[in-house]
Amino acid sequence: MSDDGKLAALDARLRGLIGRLDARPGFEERVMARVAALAAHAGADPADLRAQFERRRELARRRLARDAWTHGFTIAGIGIAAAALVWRFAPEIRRWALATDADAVIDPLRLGGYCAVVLLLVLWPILRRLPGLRNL
Amino acid sequence: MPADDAIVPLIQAGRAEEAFERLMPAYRRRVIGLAYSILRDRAAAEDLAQEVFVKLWQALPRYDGRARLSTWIYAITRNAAISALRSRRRSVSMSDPAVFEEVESREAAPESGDEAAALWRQVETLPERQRQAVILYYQDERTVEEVAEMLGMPVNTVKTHLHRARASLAAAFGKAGREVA
Repeated sequence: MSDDGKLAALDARLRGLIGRLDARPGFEERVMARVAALAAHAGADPADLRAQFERRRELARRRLARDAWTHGFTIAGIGIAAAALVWRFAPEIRRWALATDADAVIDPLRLGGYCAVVLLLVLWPILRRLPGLRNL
Repeated sequence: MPADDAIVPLIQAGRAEEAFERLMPAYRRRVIGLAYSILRDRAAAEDLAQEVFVKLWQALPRYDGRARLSTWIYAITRNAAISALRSRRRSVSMSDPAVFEEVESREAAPESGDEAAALWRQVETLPERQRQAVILYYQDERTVEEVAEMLGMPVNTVKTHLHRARASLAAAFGKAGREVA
Protein backbone atom coordinates (compact mmCIF):
# COMPACT_ATOMS: atom_id res chain seq x y z
CA MET A 1 0.00 0.00 0.00
CA SER A 2 1.27 3.52 -0.81
CA ASP A 3 2.08 6.00 1.96
CA ASP A 4 -1.06 8.00 1.10
CA GLY A 5 -3.12 4.84 1.26
CA LYS A 6 -1.64 3.92 4.64
CA LEU A 7 -2.38 7.38 6.03
CA ALA A 8 -5.93 7.26 4.69
CA ALA A 9 -6.42 3.87 6.36
CA LEU A 10 -4.98 5.24 9.59
CA ASP A 11 -7.32 8.27 9.40
CA ALA A 12 -10.31 5.98 8.92
CA ARG A 13 -9.33 3.83 11.89
CA LEU A 14 -8.74 6.86 14.11
CA ARG A 15 -12.13 8.28 13.13
CA GLY A 16 -13.78 4.94 13.88
CA LEU A 17 -12.07 4.69 17.25
CA ILE A 18 -12.16 8.26 18.54
CA GLY A 19 -15.50 9.11 16.95
CA ARG A 20 -17.18 6.95 19.60
CA LEU A 21 -15.96 9.23 22.37
CA ASP A 22 -19.10 10.64 23.98
CA ALA A 23 -20.96 10.78 27.28
CA ARG A 24 -23.00 7.84 28.52
CA PRO A 25 -26.69 7.98 27.60
CA GLY A 26 -28.73 10.27 29.83
CA PHE A 27 -25.97 12.86 30.19
CA GLU A 28 -28.25 15.81 29.52
CA GLU A 29 -30.86 14.55 31.98
CA ARG A 30 -28.14 14.21 34.66
CA VAL A 31 -26.97 17.77 34.04
CA MET A 32 -30.53 19.08 34.17
CA ALA A 33 -31.09 17.20 37.46
CA ARG A 34 -28.00 18.89 38.92
CA VAL A 35 -29.15 22.25 37.63
CA ALA A 36 -32.59 21.70 39.19
CA ALA A 37 -30.97 20.68 42.50
CA LEU A 38 -28.83 23.80 42.37
CA ALA A 39 -31.84 25.99 41.68
CA ALA A 40 -33.65 24.39 44.63
CA HIS A 41 -30.52 24.91 46.74
CA ALA A 42 -30.53 28.60 45.94
CA GLY A 43 -33.83 28.88 47.79
CA ALA A 44 -32.76 26.67 50.71
CA ASP A 45 -32.61 27.71 54.36
CA PRO A 46 -29.23 29.36 55.13
CA ALA A 47 -28.99 27.36 58.38
CA ASP A 48 -29.22 24.09 56.41
CA LEU A 49 -26.54 25.27 54.01
CA ARG A 50 -24.27 26.20 56.91
CA ALA A 51 -24.82 22.78 58.51
CA GLN A 52 -23.97 21.05 55.22
CA PHE A 53 -20.87 23.17 54.85
CA GLU A 54 -19.73 22.34 58.41
CA ARG A 55 -20.35 18.64 57.82
CA ARG A 56 -18.28 18.68 54.62
CA ARG A 57 -15.48 20.53 56.38
CA GLU A 58 -15.50 18.02 59.23
CA LEU A 59 -15.32 15.10 56.77
CA ALA A 60 -12.40 16.75 54.96
CA ARG A 61 -10.63 17.37 58.29
CA ARG A 62 -11.05 13.70 59.30
CA ARG A 63 -9.71 12.55 55.94
CA LEU A 64 -6.63 14.76 56.27
CA ALA A 65 -6.02 13.52 59.83
CA ARG A 66 -6.36 9.89 58.65
CA ASP A 67 -3.91 10.51 55.81
CA ALA A 68 -1.44 12.18 58.20
CA TRP A 69 -1.58 9.15 60.54
CA THR A 70 -1.09 6.74 57.62
CA HIS A 71 1.91 8.68 56.37
CA GLY A 72 3.28 8.97 59.91
CA PHE A 73 3.07 5.19 60.43
CA THR A 74 4.70 4.58 57.04
CA ILE A 75 7.62 6.88 57.88
CA ALA A 76 7.96 5.36 61.35
CA GLY A 77 7.99 1.88 59.78
CA ILE A 78 10.74 2.86 57.38
CA GLY A 79 12.70 4.41 60.26
CA ILE A 80 12.34 1.27 62.39
CA ALA A 81 13.42 -0.91 59.46
CA ALA A 82 16.47 1.32 58.90
CA ALA A 83 17.36 1.22 62.60
CA ALA A 84 16.97 -2.57 62.61
CA LEU A 85 19.30 -2.84 59.62
CA VAL A 86 21.92 -0.65 61.33
CA TRP A 87 21.54 -2.76 64.50
CA ARG A 88 21.86 -5.99 62.51
CA PHE A 89 24.98 -4.85 60.67
CA ALA A 90 26.53 -2.85 63.51
CA PRO A 91 29.69 -5.02 63.72
CA GLU A 92 30.32 -4.69 59.98
CA ILE A 93 29.73 -0.91 60.11
CA ARG A 94 32.08 -0.59 63.08
CA ARG A 95 34.77 -2.62 61.29
CA TRP A 96 34.35 -0.48 58.14
CA ALA A 97 34.50 2.76 60.15
CA LEU A 98 37.70 1.65 61.91
CA ALA A 99 39.25 0.42 58.66
CA THR A 100 38.53 3.58 56.69
CA ASP A 101 38.93 6.12 59.49
CA ALA A 102 35.32 7.24 58.84
CA ASP A 103 35.69 10.40 60.95
CA ALA A 104 38.11 11.69 58.36
CA VAL A 105 35.96 10.56 55.42
CA ILE A 106 32.57 11.78 56.68
CA ASP A 107 32.25 15.36 57.80
CA PRO A 108 29.67 15.18 60.66
CA LEU A 109 28.21 18.57 59.67
CA ARG A 110 27.74 17.55 56.07
CA LEU A 111 26.24 14.19 57.11
CA GLY A 112 23.81 16.03 59.40
CA GLY A 113 22.87 18.32 56.51
CA TYR A 114 22.20 15.35 54.19
CA CYS A 115 20.04 13.70 56.86
CA ALA A 116 18.06 16.93 57.34
CA VAL A 117 17.46 17.24 53.58
CA VAL A 118 16.31 13.60 53.30
CA LEU A 119 14.01 14.03 56.32
CA LEU A 120 12.54 17.22 54.85
CA LEU A 121 11.89 15.50 51.50
CA VAL A 122 10.19 12.56 53.22
CA LEU A 123 8.05 14.80 55.42
CA TRP A 124 7.25 17.34 52.68
CA PRO A 125 3.92 15.76 51.61
CA ILE A 126 2.72 15.96 55.23
CA LEU A 127 4.07 19.47 55.82
CA ARG A 128 2.24 20.68 52.72
CA ARG A 129 -1.06 19.69 54.29
CA LEU A 130 -0.52 21.95 57.30
CA PRO A 131 -2.70 25.08 57.29
CA GLY A 132 -0.77 27.97 55.81
CA LEU A 133 1.52 25.71 53.75
CA ARG A 134 -1.19 24.16 51.59
CA ASN A 135 -0.60 26.44 48.62
CA LEU A 136 3.15 25.80 48.41
CA MET B 1 -19.91 27.27 15.32
CA PRO B 2 -23.26 27.49 13.48
CA ALA B 3 -25.43 26.82 16.57
CA ASP B 4 -24.01 29.96 18.19
CA ASP B 5 -26.00 32.09 15.75
CA ALA B 6 -29.19 30.73 17.27
CA ILE B 7 -27.98 30.66 20.89
CA VAL B 8 -26.37 34.09 21.31
CA PRO B 9 -29.52 36.11 20.45
CA LEU B 10 -31.45 34.09 23.05
CA ILE B 11 -28.90 34.99 25.73
CA GLN B 12 -28.95 38.62 24.71
CA ALA B 13 -32.74 38.58 24.89
CA GLY B 14 -32.50 37.34 28.50
CA ARG B 15 -33.77 33.85 27.60
CA ALA B 16 -30.76 32.08 29.16
CA GLU B 17 -32.60 28.87 30.07
CA GLU B 18 -33.81 28.38 26.51
CA ALA B 19 -30.30 29.17 25.28
CA PHE B 20 -28.88 26.58 27.68
CA GLU B 21 -31.24 23.88 26.41
CA ARG B 22 -29.90 24.46 22.89
CA LEU B 23 -26.31 24.87 23.97
CA MET B 24 -25.95 21.53 25.75
CA PRO B 25 -26.63 19.18 22.81
CA ALA B 26 -24.59 21.45 20.51
CA TYR B 27 -21.51 21.39 22.77
CA ARG B 28 -21.80 18.07 24.61
CA ARG B 29 -19.38 16.10 22.41
CA ARG B 30 -16.98 19.03 22.16
CA VAL B 31 -16.82 19.54 25.92
CA ILE B 32 -16.46 15.79 26.55
CA GLY B 33 -13.75 15.52 23.87
CA LEU B 34 -11.79 18.48 25.21
CA ALA B 35 -12.08 17.26 28.80
CA TYR B 36 -11.02 13.74 27.79
CA SER B 37 -8.08 15.00 25.75
CA ILE B 38 -6.74 16.69 28.89
CA LEU B 39 -7.77 14.22 31.61
CA ARG B 40 -7.37 10.92 29.66
CA ASP B 41 -10.11 9.31 31.71
CA ARG B 42 -13.65 8.85 30.43
CA ALA B 43 -15.47 8.87 33.75
CA ALA B 44 -13.52 11.92 34.94
CA ALA B 45 -14.15 13.67 31.61
CA GLU B 46 -17.88 13.07 31.91
CA ASP B 47 -17.95 14.32 35.50
CA LEU B 48 -16.02 17.39 34.45
CA ALA B 49 -18.35 17.98 31.50
CA GLN B 50 -21.28 17.95 33.94
CA GLU B 51 -19.46 20.50 36.12
CA VAL B 52 -18.77 22.66 33.08
CA PHE B 53 -22.41 22.67 31.99
CA VAL B 54 -23.55 23.52 35.51
CA LYS B 55 -21.05 26.41 35.50
CA LEU B 56 -22.33 27.49 32.10
CA TRP B 57 -25.91 27.42 33.38
CA GLN B 58 -24.86 29.71 36.23
CA ALA B 59 -22.72 32.01 34.08
CA LEU B 60 -24.79 32.18 30.90
CA PRO B 61 -26.85 35.23 31.97
CA ARG B 62 -23.53 37.09 32.45
CA TYR B 63 -22.16 36.21 28.99
CA ASP B 64 -21.52 39.62 27.40
CA GLY B 65 -20.68 38.54 23.85
CA ARG B 66 -17.19 40.08 23.85
CA ALA B 67 -15.60 36.68 23.12
CA ARG B 68 -17.19 34.16 20.78
CA LEU B 69 -19.51 31.79 22.66
CA SER B 70 -17.46 28.76 21.58
CA THR B 71 -14.17 30.38 22.68
CA TRP B 72 -15.73 31.21 26.06
CA ILE B 73 -17.02 27.64 26.56
CA TYR B 74 -13.69 26.07 25.54
CA ALA B 75 -11.79 28.37 27.90
CA ILE B 76 -14.07 27.37 30.80
CA THR B 77 -13.65 23.68 29.92
CA ARG B 78 -9.85 23.90 29.56
CA ASN B 79 -9.46 25.77 32.85
CA ALA B 80 -11.73 23.33 34.70
CA ALA B 81 -9.91 20.31 33.22
CA ILE B 82 -6.45 21.66 34.02
CA SER B 83 -7.55 22.52 37.54
CA ALA B 84 -9.08 19.02 37.97
CA LEU B 85 -5.89 17.45 36.66
CA ARG B 86 -3.78 19.44 39.13
CA SER B 87 -5.93 18.57 42.12
CA ARG B 88 -5.99 14.92 41.05
CA ARG B 89 -2.19 14.84 40.83
CA ARG B 90 -2.01 16.41 44.30
CA SER B 91 -4.54 14.21 46.02
CA VAL B 92 -4.28 10.79 44.37
CA SER B 93 -1.90 8.35 45.96
CA MET B 94 -1.33 4.73 45.04
CA SER B 95 -3.50 3.63 47.96
CA ASP B 96 -6.42 5.62 46.56
CA PRO B 97 -9.13 3.49 44.91
CA ALA B 98 -9.44 6.20 42.23
CA VAL B 99 -6.07 5.07 40.85
CA PHE B 100 -7.38 1.59 40.24
CA GLU B 101 -10.62 2.89 38.77
CA GLU B 102 -8.61 5.06 36.40
CA VAL B 103 -6.41 2.17 35.34
CA GLU B 104 -9.50 0.05 34.76
CA SER B 105 -11.23 2.76 32.76
CA ARG B 106 -8.12 3.24 30.60
CA GLU B 107 -7.91 -0.46 29.98
CA ALA B 108 -11.59 -0.53 29.13
CA ALA B 109 -11.30 2.44 26.75
CA PRO B 110 -10.94 0.55 23.47
CA GLU B 111 -14.25 -1.05 22.88
CA SER B 112 -13.38 -3.59 20.27
CA GLY B 113 -10.61 -5.83 19.10
CA ASP B 114 -6.87 -6.08 19.61
CA GLU B 115 -6.09 -3.71 16.74
CA ALA B 116 -8.32 -0.98 18.13
CA ALA B 117 -6.78 -1.52 21.57
CA ALA B 118 -3.28 -1.28 20.10
CA LEU B 119 -4.17 1.89 18.21
CA TRP B 120 -5.69 3.39 21.36
CA ARG B 121 -2.52 2.59 23.29
CA GLN B 122 -0.45 4.29 20.60
CA VAL B 123 -2.64 7.39 20.81
CA GLU B 124 -2.24 7.35 24.59
CA THR B 125 1.54 7.28 24.30
CA LEU B 126 1.70 10.36 22.04
CA PRO B 127 3.08 13.56 23.62
CA GLU B 128 0.34 15.54 25.39
CA ARG B 129 -0.27 18.24 22.75
CA GLN B 130 -0.22 15.75 19.88
CA ARG B 131 -2.66 13.47 21.69
CA GLN B 132 -5.04 16.35 22.39
CA ALA B 133 -4.95 17.48 18.75
CA VAL B 134 -5.55 13.92 17.47
CA ILE B 135 -8.49 13.26 19.81
CA LEU B 136 -10.25 16.52 18.99
CA TYR B 137 -9.54 16.33 15.26
CA TYR B 138 -10.82 12.79 14.79
CA GLN B 139 -13.67 12.83 17.31
CA ASP B 140 -15.99 14.67 14.94
CA GLU B 141 -13.93 15.31 11.80
CA ARG B 142 -13.36 18.86 12.95
CA THR B 143 -11.36 21.41 11.05
CA VAL B 144 -7.86 22.28 12.18
CA GLU B 145 -9.14 25.80 12.87
CA GLU B 146 -11.79 24.51 15.27
CA VAL B 147 -9.29 22.24 17.05
CA ALA B 148 -6.98 25.26 17.39
CA GLU B 149 -9.80 27.27 18.94
CA MET B 150 -10.65 24.44 21.34
CA LEU B 151 -7.05 24.08 22.49
CA GLY B 152 -6.33 27.81 22.47
CA MET B 153 -3.39 27.29 20.10
CA PRO B 154 -2.33 28.81 16.77
CA VAL B 155 -3.61 26.91 13.71
CA ASN B 156 -0.10 26.16 12.44
CA THR B 157 0.90 24.66 15.79
CA VAL B 158 -2.08 22.30 15.64
CA LYS B 159 -1.17 21.37 12.05
CA THR B 160 2.37 20.54 13.18
CA HIS B 161 1.12 18.44 16.11
CA LEU B 162 -1.30 16.55 13.86
CA HIS B 163 1.36 15.97 11.22
CA ARG B 164 3.83 14.59 13.77
CA ALA B 165 1.18 12.49 15.48
CA ARG B 166 0.02 10.91 12.21
CA ALA B 167 3.61 10.22 11.21
CA SER B 168 4.45 8.49 14.47
CA LEU B 169 1.18 6.52 14.50
CA ALA B 170 1.72 5.44 10.88
CA ALA B 171 5.31 4.44 11.68
CA ALA B 172 4.20 2.49 14.75
CA PHE B 173 1.59 0.65 12.71
CA GLY B 174 3.94 -0.02 9.82
CA LYS B 175 6.31 -1.60 12.34
CA ALA B 176 3.52 -3.58 14.02
CA GLY B 177 2.37 -4.81 10.59
CA ARG B 178 5.88 -5.96 9.67
CA GLU B 179 6.23 -7.73 13.04
CA VAL B 180 2.95 -9.57 12.47
CA ALA B 181 3.97 -10.51 8.90
